[in-house]
Amino acid sequence: MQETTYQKDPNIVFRKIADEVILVLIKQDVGDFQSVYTLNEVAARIWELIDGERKVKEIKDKIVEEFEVTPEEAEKDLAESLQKLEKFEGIKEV
Amino acid sequence: MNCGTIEFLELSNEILSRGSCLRFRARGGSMSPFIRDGDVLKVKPAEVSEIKLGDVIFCRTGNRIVAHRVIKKVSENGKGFLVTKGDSSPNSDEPLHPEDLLGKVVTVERNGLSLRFDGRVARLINLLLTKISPFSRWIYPVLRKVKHMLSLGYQHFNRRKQSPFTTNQSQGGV
Repeated sequence: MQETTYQKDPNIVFRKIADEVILVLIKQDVGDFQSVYTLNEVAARIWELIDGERKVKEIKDKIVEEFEVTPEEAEKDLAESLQKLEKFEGIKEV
Repeated sequence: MNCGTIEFLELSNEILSRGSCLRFRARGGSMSPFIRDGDVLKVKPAEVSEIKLGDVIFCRTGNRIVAHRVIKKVSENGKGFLVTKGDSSPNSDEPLHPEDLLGKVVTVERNGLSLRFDGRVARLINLLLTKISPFSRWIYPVLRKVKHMLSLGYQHFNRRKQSPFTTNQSQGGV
């Protein structure tokens, strides 16, 4: 898990609004506002950091540094966010 | 989190500019009764040249984003402009610059049913609605009254048709 790298799905359109990020998935050629996904501040930062190159471990270190949380808390938040983003088809493993 | 007008416009623009369609819930009643508050619209990307009279387009007017009907096409200095109007609005909108056109409404979903706008019958209805559009503020209230009276008449007719036996049976509940 720590060595895994993720990339954003190219079929996702997103906008940052204040500290949050709203994601719209284009599926079967339709961008459906009936199923949008909203990321809170931490998840939004994780989303920003996912670039197809950074490993999960590096993202965790950034979260620990920027949000002043323990590595365990960061790991828990990260695992939860990645799982939800994968389920939404917003990211995939490289 | 609410997706504001600007964000909705930007996201819509990006989706449509990729050549994909857009699906969202309509708010407001300016196109009532054809499109009602809460209906789900599907919009496809479109150019001014492919827009016909009567089409319902998704566009930017001022600082709003609307789905209104095209009631006139005008040409000025070799540039095509569209004039739109909400079916139940008293006045038409300002002429639309081509760059403010975002797409064209292709389906309206309500109560699990989907009405396609690109069929022959829908095109005829659209054209008819365009012709009566200037008089919509007088026609629609009259039609609403007629519909209301018809539904009252239907209810009265149904009540008279029910026999006392059926009524007693349904009230028994045993």
